[in-house]
Amino acid sequence: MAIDALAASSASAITITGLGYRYPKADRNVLGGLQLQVPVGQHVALIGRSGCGKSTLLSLIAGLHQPTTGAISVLGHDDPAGRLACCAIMPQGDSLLPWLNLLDNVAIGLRNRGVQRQPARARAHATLNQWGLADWEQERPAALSGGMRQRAALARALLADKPILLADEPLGALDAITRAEIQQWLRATIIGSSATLIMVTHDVDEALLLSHRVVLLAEPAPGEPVSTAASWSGWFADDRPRELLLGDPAFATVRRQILESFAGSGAGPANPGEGR
Amino acid sequence: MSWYLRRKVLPPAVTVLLILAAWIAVTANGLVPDYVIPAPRAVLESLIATWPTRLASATWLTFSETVIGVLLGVAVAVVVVIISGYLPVIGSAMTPLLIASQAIPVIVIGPLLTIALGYGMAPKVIVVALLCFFPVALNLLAGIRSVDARLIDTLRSLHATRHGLFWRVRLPYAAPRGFAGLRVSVTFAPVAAVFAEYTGSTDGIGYLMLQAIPRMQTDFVFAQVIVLTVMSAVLLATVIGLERLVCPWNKPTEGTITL
Repeated sequence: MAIDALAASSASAITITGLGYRYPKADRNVLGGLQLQVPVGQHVALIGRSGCGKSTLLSLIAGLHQPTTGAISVLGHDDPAGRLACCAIMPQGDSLLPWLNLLDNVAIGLRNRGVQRQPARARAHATLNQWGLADWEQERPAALSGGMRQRAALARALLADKPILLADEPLGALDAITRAEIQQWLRATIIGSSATLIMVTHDVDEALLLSHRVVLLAEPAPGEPVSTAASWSGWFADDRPRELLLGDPAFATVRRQILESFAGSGAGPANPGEGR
Repeated sequence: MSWYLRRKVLPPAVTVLLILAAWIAVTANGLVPDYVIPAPRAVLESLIATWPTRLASATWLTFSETVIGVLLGVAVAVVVVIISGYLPVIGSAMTPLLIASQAIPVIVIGPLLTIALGYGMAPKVIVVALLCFFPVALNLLAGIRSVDARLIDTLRSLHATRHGLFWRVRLPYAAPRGFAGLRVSVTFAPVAAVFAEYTGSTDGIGYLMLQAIPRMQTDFVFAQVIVLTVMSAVLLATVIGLERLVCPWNKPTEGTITL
C-alpha cells in the first residue's frame, strides 16, 4: 500500500506545512509554523534544545498525535492511520521485549503482519547473521550489551518494511566509545536501505555523520510564534571512515556553524554536545 | 560456609531455633499451663499419633479445597483480565464490583454459602476462590494497564494490532505482577479454607479444630497449625517455582520474600 502511494506522490516522502502543536496539559505551543519537506530516501537529523518539540514532531509525523495547526502529509497520507502505516518508530532507550529472545524480538514486526513463525525467524536470522549478532539470537535482551540491543532494535524496525524510519535518539543510551562504533557501523549499514530516515539527536557530530541534511529546530522566543528551522548538508553520502571525516577541516567548520546557531537558538546556556 | 548458607539459610534457621528454645523454656518450667501452650514434644507426639487416623485425611481434604479454590480464583481472574483487555469499559465498570466483593466479610459469605450449598466442598472452594481472585486480578489489571505508552506506540508502528498487543505485550508484561498477587493469595488460602470449614463441615482441618478447641486439646490444635503452615509454605514454593518457569526473564524484585 505504502509503495503505491510512493509512486503516486512526487518524490516527497514527508511534507510539513505551517505545523504547530499545543500540548494539551502543559498549555505550551511548539513547532509554531514549521515548514519541512523531506524527499524520498533522504536522511534528516533533527537537532535542537530539549523541549523544542523534536520528539513531538516524530509523533506527529507517525500519526500518534494530530497537529493543532498546519498539515502533515506522509507519502500522500494526511490521516493518522495512513501516516502510521508508513512509519516505523525506533524510540529512545531500550524497547526490546524482555521476555523474547533476540530472534523473536527482531521478528516481531513480521509476526504482527501475520507471517508464520518459521519464515519470520528465518528473515530475522538472516539480518542478525549479516550484522554479526547471530551468536546471540537465542539470548534475551538482558544478557546483551547496550550496543547489541540498539542494533537489534534497528533490525526490528527495518524488518517492518516501512518506507519511513523515525528514530528518537537511537544511540542516546550508549557510552561514548560504543556510540562511536555504532555510528561507523550505521554509516556502513543503512547505506543499503532505501528508507527515508528522520533522526532526533543531541550530538552534532552524529547528526552530520548519519544524515544528508541537518535541521535545527529553534525554540520560539517569547512573543514570537514561528520557529525557524535552519539546515545544513550532512556528510552521510561521504563514504570516508568516521575518524577521517571528524578530522576534516570542512567538517569542523560546519560543526562550528551549527554549534553557533545552536547557541543562538534559544535562552539558556548552549550545551549541544551532551548525551541527552 | 557458602554465601548462600550464611546469608539466606542461617538467619531464619537461628530465628526458628530461638523461638523453639523460648517455647521449650516457657513450657518446661510450668510458667504457662500446658492447655494454654503445650510443650513442643507434646505437639509432635499429637501430630504423629493423629496423622494416620484423622489428621492425614483432614489435611488432604483441606488441601484439595485450597488448591481447587486457588485454581478457580486464578481462572476467573484471568478471564476477567482478558475481557477487560479487549473491552476496557468493562474493566473500569467491574473495578468497583471487584472492590465490593472484597468488602463483604468472609465471616458473612461463609455461613451464607453453607446454607445455600450444604456441608460439602463447594462452599469452601468458593470462599478460597473469592479471596484468591482479588490480588491476582488487581495485579494483572494494573499490569496490562501500565505498559509504557511509548512501547505501545513503537509496536503499533511495527504492525501490531490491538489483539497482538494484548497477547504479545500486555499479558506477558502483566504476568510477573499476577504471580506477585498469587504469592499473596496462596499464603492465606489454606486459612481461608479452614475458616470456611468452621462455618459448617463434617471433615477437614477446620472441623478437627472446632472439635479440639472446646476439649482443650491444645497440643492437637498446635499440630494442625503446623500442618497448615507447611501447607502454605508448599503452595508458596510451588508458585515461586511456577513463576520461574513461566516468567524466566523476570528478576525477583528487591525486597521480595523468596524461599
